[in-house]
Amino acid sequence: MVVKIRLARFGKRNWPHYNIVVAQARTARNSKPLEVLGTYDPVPKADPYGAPDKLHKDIEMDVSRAKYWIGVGAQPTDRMWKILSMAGILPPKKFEPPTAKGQPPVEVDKVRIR
Amino acid sequence: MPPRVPGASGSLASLDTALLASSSSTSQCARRTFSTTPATCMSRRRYEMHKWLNENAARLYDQSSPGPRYLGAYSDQPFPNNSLFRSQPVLSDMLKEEIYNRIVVKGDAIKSVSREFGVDVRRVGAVVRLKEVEKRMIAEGKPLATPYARAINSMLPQTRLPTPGSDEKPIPHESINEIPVHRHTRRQLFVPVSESRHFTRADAAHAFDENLLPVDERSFHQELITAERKIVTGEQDRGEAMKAWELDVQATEEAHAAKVGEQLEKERSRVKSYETGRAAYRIKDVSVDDAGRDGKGPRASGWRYGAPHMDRKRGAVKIPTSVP
Repeated sequence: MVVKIRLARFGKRNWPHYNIVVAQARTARNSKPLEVLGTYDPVPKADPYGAPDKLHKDIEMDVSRAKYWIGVGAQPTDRMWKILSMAGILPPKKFEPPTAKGQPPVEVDKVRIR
Repeated sequence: MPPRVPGASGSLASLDTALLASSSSTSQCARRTFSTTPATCMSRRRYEMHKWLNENAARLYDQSSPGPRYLGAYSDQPFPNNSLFRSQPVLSDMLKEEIYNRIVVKGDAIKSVSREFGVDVRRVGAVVRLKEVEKRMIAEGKPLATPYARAINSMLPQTRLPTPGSDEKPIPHESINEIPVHRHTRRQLFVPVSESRHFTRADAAHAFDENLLPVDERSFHQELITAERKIVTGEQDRGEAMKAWELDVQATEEAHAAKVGEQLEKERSRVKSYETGRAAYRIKDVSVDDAGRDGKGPRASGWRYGAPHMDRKRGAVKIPTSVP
């Protein structure tokens, strides 16, 4: 069974707060994980005495432990890949769908009609 | 139902003419022709009040000098019959500015500033914090309630800074050696002690509670107490004792500031910020070992498994007890 690095939703209604966990892929989302690596607070907030429009999101994570789990083959989810790439553990990855390439223009002399 | 006029038996116009005719001799009563209540002439007390007002009006309504105009002779006693109620002095703005400059700009020790101006250590801290807030508000261009502050300050006695350049000593604002009464010391206690024993303050504190510090150690100025004690016993003369105290206090506070700065720097170095176009991500490096063997350590990061939320529990106080 695959070991995953993923998020487990805690917090309240309309107030998400996540644990960053290492767990077996087939276990339930909030079941007891192999290890809790940290937390992720997705609600942006300003510093108490800083500029009110300068927002940040807080992440707590044991970076060395995350490196270890990546090293032994744990698979991060997309959201966790983004966070781990920001921590410098994984290379950045684009998650947008690939842009469709248009057909090249038709060259008349190469077209054969039977 | 039409409004009933009490005591008006005839028409109002006839009453008016009657009143005018009858009160030609008494000028005070004649003025109230519009009133329907029976006209009473000025009582003796009312007459005395007007007499008193005419004598004191010039002093009471004099706007030329600032400050409160109370009925009594004293400027700090709002109620002349209650001599126990006195307005307490506040620090003048210049003195507050001087305290801020001495501590933040010049880097003097809080305790030496507290002793020099006779201001409690806690009040010195409050002055510095509030001046910080004021300066930030000015920097952000926020409006200040200056007229309000001026009006309030004009009504209260103030402790002022001595004029710069003069040899005046600052007037002490308050007692700097006041210790809050501890809960454990408020009970009556009988301790049998042999007559030969030298029963000190430390013994008294221990008798009240095992963990209670003696008064001298609970004071904010315990170093000053030690210095004064040395002067009294003749160990040092005043000049050198005060110099040693000043150096001691400065060194202690600088060491404390360095320690706090180091801790803050350590905390800051654990956080790595990642800028995006929108909200930045702040990744703080924590240790999974904080969770302990059972995974329930109080300093561990993350939500607990199998532990209920206590925030809906009855009687839980959610008012924050500290500011960030």
